[in-house]
Amino acid sequence: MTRSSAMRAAYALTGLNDPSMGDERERDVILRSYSFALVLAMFLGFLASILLAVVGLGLWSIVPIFVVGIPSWAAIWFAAKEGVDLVALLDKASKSRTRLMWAGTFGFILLWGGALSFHILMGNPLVDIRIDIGDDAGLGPVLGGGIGAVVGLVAAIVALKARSRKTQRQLAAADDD
Amino acid sequence: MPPDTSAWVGVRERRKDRGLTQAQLAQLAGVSRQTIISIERGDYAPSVYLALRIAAQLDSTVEELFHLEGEPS
Repeated sequence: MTRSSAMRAAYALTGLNDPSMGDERERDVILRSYSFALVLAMFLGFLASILLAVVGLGLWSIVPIFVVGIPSWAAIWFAAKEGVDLVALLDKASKSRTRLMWAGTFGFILLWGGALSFHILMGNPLVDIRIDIGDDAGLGPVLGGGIGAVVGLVAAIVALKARSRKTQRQLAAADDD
Repeated sequence: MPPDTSAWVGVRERRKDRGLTQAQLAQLAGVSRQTIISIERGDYAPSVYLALRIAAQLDSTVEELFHLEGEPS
């Protein structure tokens, strides 16, 4: 299959043909897993925007929406390059799914817009947590943040390893040869 | 991808007739043991190419190993 240089780069970036994608079934599961993760990230992005608006970050609260929007636009672009119109396929969504999507969209607009409007009209956010970084933050917050990041990374690696061992035990138990 | 129609899968029976374990068939077909398990349970419909490889390793045909419910075997 002849691909453009942009698509070759996309494939290389994603590692779609890398051995870590497993066999065809494993690749299918992996891609569905990431699809679920993308949708979850979008909802978390909406939630983050609302929370940031609630605590008074104003228009900066829209940043999470742009951040989670980038993967969505990338997916639309990638699919189009492979001959699939994701936007047109949305017309085939079930009525219940369409209703849920519109309810979520309007709900977000109401909550986010409401929080921003409150801040603008009242002069203070819904929840004023009064973050004051200041000019002389010093080494303390930087050091604390660094230590926290390392601890978090180690904890994530340990949790992933434990999850992998559990999955391997479950897979071994499933063998009914 | 999970099959969206009922299908009869005769891979397990044929594999046992040939004296192969799931792990052995998986290695011969170039997939993981879990994939063979999923296929035998009817939880995963293999691609045409994988079905052909499995049939070749079991000295059988795709039509003998996989067919839709209600169709003559």
